[in-house]
Amino acid sequence: MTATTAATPALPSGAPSRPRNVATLAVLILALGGMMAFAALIAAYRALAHYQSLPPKGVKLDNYLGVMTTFTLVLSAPLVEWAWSAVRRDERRQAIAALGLTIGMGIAFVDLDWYLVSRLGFGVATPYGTVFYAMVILAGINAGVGILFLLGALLRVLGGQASGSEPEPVRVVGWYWEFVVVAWVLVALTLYPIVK
Amino acid sequence: MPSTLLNPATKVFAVVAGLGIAIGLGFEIAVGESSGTVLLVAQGLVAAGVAVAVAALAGRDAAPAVPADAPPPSASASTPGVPAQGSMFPGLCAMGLGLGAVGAATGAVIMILALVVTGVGAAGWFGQSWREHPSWTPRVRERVRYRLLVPAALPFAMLGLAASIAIGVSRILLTVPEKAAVGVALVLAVSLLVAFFALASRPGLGRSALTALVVMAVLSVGGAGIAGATRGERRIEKVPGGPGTVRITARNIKFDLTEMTLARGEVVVFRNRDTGTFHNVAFYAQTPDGGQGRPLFNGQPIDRGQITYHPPPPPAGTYLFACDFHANMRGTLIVSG
Amino acid sequence: MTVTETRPGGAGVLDSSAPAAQPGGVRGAPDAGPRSVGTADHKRLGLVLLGTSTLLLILGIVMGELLQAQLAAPDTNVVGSRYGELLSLHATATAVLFLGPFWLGLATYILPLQIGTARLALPRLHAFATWLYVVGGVVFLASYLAGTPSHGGITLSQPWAAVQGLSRADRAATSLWIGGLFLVGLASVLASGDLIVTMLKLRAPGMTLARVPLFSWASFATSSVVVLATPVFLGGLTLLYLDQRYGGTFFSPSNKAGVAVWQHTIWLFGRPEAFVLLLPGLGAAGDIVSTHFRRPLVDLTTARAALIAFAGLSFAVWAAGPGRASAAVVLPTSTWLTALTAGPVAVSVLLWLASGRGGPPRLHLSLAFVAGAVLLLALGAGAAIIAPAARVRAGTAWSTGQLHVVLFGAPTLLALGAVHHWAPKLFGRRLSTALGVLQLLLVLGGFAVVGVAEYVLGYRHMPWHVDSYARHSLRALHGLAAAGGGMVLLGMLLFALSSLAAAWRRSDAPGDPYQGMTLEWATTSPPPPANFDALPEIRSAQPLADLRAAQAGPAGGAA
Repeated sequence: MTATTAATPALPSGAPSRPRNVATLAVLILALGGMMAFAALIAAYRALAHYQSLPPKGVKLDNYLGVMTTFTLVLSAPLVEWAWSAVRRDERRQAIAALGLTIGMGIAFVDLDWYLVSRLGFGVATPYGTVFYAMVILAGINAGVGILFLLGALLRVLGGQASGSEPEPVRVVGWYWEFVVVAWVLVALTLYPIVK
Repeated sequence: MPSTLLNPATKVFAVVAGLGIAIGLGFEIAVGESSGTVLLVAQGLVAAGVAVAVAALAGRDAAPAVPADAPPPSASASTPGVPAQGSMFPGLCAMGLGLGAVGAATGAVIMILALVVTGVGAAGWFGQSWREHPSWTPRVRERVRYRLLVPAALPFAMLGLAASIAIGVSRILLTVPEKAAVGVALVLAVSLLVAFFALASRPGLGRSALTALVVMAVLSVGGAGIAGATRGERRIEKVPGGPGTVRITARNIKFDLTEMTLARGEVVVFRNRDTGTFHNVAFYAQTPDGGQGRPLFNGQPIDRGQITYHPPPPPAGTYLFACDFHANMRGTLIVSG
Repeated sequence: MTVTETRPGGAGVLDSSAPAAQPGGVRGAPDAGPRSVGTADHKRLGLVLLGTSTLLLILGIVMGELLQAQLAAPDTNVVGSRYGELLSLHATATAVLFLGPFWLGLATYILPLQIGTARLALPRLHAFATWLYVVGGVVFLASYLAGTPSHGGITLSQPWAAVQGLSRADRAATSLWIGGLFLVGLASVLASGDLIVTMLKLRAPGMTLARVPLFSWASFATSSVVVLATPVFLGGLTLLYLDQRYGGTFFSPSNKAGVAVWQHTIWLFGRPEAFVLLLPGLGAAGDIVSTHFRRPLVDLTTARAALIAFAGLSFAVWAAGPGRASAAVVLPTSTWLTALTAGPVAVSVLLWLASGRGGPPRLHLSLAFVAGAVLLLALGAGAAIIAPAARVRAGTAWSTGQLHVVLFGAPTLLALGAVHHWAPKLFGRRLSTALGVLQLLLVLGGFAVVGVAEYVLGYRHMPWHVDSYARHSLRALHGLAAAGGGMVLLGMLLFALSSLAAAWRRSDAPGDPYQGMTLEWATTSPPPPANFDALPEIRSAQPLADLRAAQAGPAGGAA
């Protein structure tokens, strides 16, 4: 609480300088909006599938790599929730460990995503290739941004700026990371014909 | 005003969600054009997600109860909170992304510069909000300074500066003609010598003069480096020709060969003159109608410079060679025995 | 709870007679000049958006004039081989770089004032978005200096042709074109997200959502559409970038799926956004009408519902089958679902008209701008009714006319009216009425002339988006359209100069020049850094009217 000397009777402030959940709500709305960018690419893929069978003849996707990449990222989802839970309970060490592990999984995902792209064996020259590359590259960039946010949250926890009384920085980043995970899962389900 | 369980904004998003899903499903049944269906249903689902988020986090929308015998409304009931504190870093980040757009159009060097500018902006943004936190006291500041800035950040900053100068200077030297490069290097070395001599002989040099000098140096090296990178490297490597090597070049999204003859065991030296655009050389079997068949070899793509491929020797015959990225870049490959 | 002091002699509620002094004793509009760099004040950011978008509009209209000059004199070579390129620049600068960001700028400035807060929810994110828009605009324009961006663009309902054979400079220019638009799109998403959260989380005590003024509601609805629809445009641009830069083939003529995806994602920048360019104008007009008629709209709930219905129906543009949208006769799409958007517009207009039943309004120029917009909408509606009877063909100049009258003309008039209405808050001064009348006549007349000329050209089967034609009998009509465009350009230049003059000169407007009812009139003109020194108690959607009633007699304060 801050107070300054009032020349006239002090008035209650209509809006606190840091209203609760502002950043959380903003990141949720923007992340959900970001889903529409992936929806556009999935729509493009579905439109293409209307005219030809996908993946096209001659393209053999490495399902093992796709599944492992997806597993890596999906496993990071509970980790970031663990970080959030730990911060709320003021378990600083746990929060640091969970965030560190999430970052590690995130980096592993970006690495796998890059490896997956480098091993594709087909370029962007076909419509299928164009939409495939657009999806995996966008997902990789999205994860890269998420990792930077996770690093920020880790620094906040290390510096004592995120704690049980002020857990929002970790919650905000946690939601963004969940967006990264869900977006990739949708991309993977579209590109890798596990269910056809 | 009666209080409500769901605030009006939640209802708005719920209505938009319902409309999107209903129109999407109707469209799928009536027209069956899948991309429109995906977009409409996705919009509906996303709006539903926003509705849930708003319901959970926007709070109730109840007006304070005003009793019938309440006094007239007051002209000064509350204050609006504190105004926002400014920061130059968001603008710097925006500039970095703008450079990123330029880099995406021109090449990797500007993209690296964009990443650096965006990174500095983002770090500054984070740092400023960090310093504005109540936990940031003079004692913490000193601790961070001596534990983090001096032992870690300073060396990294110096390393970054040295790397930037090295990359900038190397771009200049790689762009200008070979003989001019020697001259440029000499002029640069002499300039550095003179500058450092001047600095060393004037210990009382003001901080602002020093800063101006450093900024000028960084800008000139950086600017010349960008100009050099945009112009592209001169041809440097003299690849030995002769038996055992087939040379092919991509330029303006075209190969310089329409027919390539490859003896078994020969290597392929591929040069990409479309800086910033990925190309590769791939070999494909030919279908009976002359079309592209199964892949035999896919060379690693490069977006500049050159690479030597060691393709596995296919049996003697006629094949196709192509760039995997550009449908129009293809030709006939003849493998001799 | 935070407790702050009130400034003696501060911005008093209902103290409309004289402007209150600001700290330092100097009052002036928060300018969009160099001091704005590094600011997170929503007022400065709003002015940066308004100023930059107006500048880009003027540039866009100049391009439009060059195009019309070419059509009016087809034997000459006014634009050379760059017709398609200039057409793209004209359409993008006027719609994507002007109207959307202009409304965003106005909302950035006005929304926090209307809901009674000192700041935006995420002011630095908003600053980032603002500068991203400016930088994106610069990158977009730079693409035309760097080379020739691949012909076409967002105005064409068919994808760009394959780009094989483009020179290196032209390929770079095309990538810059895409990059600039990507940044502008990203900026609008971020800023819109912030506006949504600001309205949801930072309202003053007592300011329930049902009491939020119509312009803020319209901005909220528009922002929601932008957040849901613009990322689709960004996804489409990503595909286009891979096509143009790395030899992708998604939008190549050989890919049949490319047409539908192009029309859903890129044509008219992801079409829901094109629709909602009118939406903030409907909200602004509601506030203008209720302020100058000195009474709330007859049914605020219906007015709000109309705005939301318009926003929801705008997504229905995606419900157009492949190739269907390209046969656009009525606006960008001809599906019956999107034609339903005319309903909420009609409801809004009827509610404005119904306000006139309670007595004559205070005569203010902004009302005339609203009336002008209604006239243009009526012209568009009339043309849409006549079109089937006149057997207008798809892809003719008729669609150009309809785009100019309904999609661009009416919202532009509402935007100008809104600036005239809120000028005391924006600039600390009212805009010149004489110049305002001239602006109205020029812009309204100009759009009407362009519209009628293009409608008639359409009836005579003149195709759109072509730079030459064989029938010399059509020259006069093209000349007329060029003259109309010139009138609009002149009007917009006058508007820009008039606004600049107001911002430049010393503030003299009272805090509440119109006896307004909503919170933005409860502070000085322009507002101080924290917007308000004190907020009144809010018991209804018209808190200032309640206060006046309370001061006038003991029975005041409508619930």
